[in-house]
Amino acid sequence: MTPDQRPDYLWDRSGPPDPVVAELEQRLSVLAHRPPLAVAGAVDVDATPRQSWSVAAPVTAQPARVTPMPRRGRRWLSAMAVAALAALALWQFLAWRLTWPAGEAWPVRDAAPLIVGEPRMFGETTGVVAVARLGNLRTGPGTTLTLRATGSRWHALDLTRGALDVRLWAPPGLVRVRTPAGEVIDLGCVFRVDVDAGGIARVRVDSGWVQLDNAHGESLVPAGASSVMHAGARPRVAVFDDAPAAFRAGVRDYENGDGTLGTTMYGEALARAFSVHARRRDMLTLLTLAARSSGEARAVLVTRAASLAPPPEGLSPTAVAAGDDGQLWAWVDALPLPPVKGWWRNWRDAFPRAAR
Amino acid sequence: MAFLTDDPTSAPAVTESTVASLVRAAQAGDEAAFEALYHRFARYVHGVALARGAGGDADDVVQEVFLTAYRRLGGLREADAFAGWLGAIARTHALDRARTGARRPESRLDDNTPSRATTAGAPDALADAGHVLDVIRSLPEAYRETLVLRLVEGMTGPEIAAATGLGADSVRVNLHRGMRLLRERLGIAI
Repeated sequence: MTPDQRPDYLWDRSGPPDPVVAELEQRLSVLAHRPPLAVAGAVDVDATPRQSWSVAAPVTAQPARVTPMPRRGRRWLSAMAVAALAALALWQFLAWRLTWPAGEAWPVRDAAPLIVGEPRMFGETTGVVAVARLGNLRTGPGTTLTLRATGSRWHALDLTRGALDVRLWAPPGLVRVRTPAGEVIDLGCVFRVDVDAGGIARVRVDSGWVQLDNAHGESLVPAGASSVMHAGARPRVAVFDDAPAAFRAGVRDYENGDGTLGTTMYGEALARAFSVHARRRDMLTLLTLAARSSGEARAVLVTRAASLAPPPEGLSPTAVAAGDDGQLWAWVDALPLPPVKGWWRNWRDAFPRAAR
Repeated sequence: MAFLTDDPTSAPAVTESTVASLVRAAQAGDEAAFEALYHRFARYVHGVALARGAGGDADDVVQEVFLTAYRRLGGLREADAFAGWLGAIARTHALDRARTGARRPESRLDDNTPSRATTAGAPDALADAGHVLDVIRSLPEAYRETLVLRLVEGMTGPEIAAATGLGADSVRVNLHRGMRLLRERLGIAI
């Protein structure tokens, strides 16, 4: 019998239990994982404790006196009923809009539908593709697009080359565009994504938010800002398109440096040079860059941000400069930016472009 | 190759290709497939979180890891690499939690005690388990995760090898060497 075949309780519980191992298993079992009742939103009805509902019995045996409802009360009830019906209709519309048969092809205006798994080269013509029932996208010249998956849960596209102008009104994360540089995830918005011959993805957001995500990290891009994503690096920070040119160029130079973001004298000097051009609106860029930087360069960026708008009470620029990322992100959360989860506020995106 | 199951005694063996096919189905939007992946790997992720010092937040780490995985699954190109990819996410989240927890004074009180477990076990039993877990965490890194997966999560050596991507021989050696060190540090005669 080889060592592999010998009973070994510690290895695979074969053979007689090792008393010490068994005792430790028993002592540690209180820390073991126990599955929750529901997973990622999927509620297991059978596993959910049922609540028994009951109507309390009347405290007296006397019959309740029936009082006619005043006229004003009846009007109020009618208004409530109308509002409830309107809410129901809206709910049904939303449910219809958000559902899509799994694997069903997407209609393309004046062309054959986009079938799951079949790459489509749009050439020089502009293709107008319905994104299930969520909105539409227009293809730029030389676009190669594949519908990878579609259904009520999410929709996934591969964009290997070309450009898409996407207009959606949908909850965050439903539509994902995979590029050679990483994923572009819609967070309820209007945006454009370009992929060049080198596989670099450039994104500009017109409303809502977009998330760029690859193996190296992620970056959130708000309306009015742009970003770039390369396969070999973390997606670049978002920079507002109306920021001063010197600031925009300086940020990209800083990020395109040696990848150590501010650990060198050069990084610190560069941060000092471009940050003077920052406006209050550029706080998101400054703080996100600071989160990715260290040492003096981080201190320069935080100091500049604090001079534009001090952090909320309880947060200390000194602590943020010294590396406290918890305070830094609390500061970012307090910036006057639209909430990522407020997709429904961009209801205008549900209508065609001309309507806006 | 046996894979992780919530109940290793009753669930059928799952091959690596089955996990890959579950991953591909989940990538195509099949929610049940993702839930199956959750059930197969939740103990592994929980063990990684405990071994990396997530302590009282280990359950939260499991939820965060699977939410992150759910969000990023579309970007995973090699379905066979799912276990290693998930492990990397789990380690990152657990370390983040441990760092964040270290800055929150109140979280130090119950660092080793899963919040869910406070209702499941007596305080003495939890304190005792927390003490043993502390000793495991003081062992060299190569042994920590393996021992937590085996002794806390109840996974067998072959299951640990399948989940971590380590060779079976390496896992066996880590288990035995780690166990010997653990006995020494707990003052248990060999």
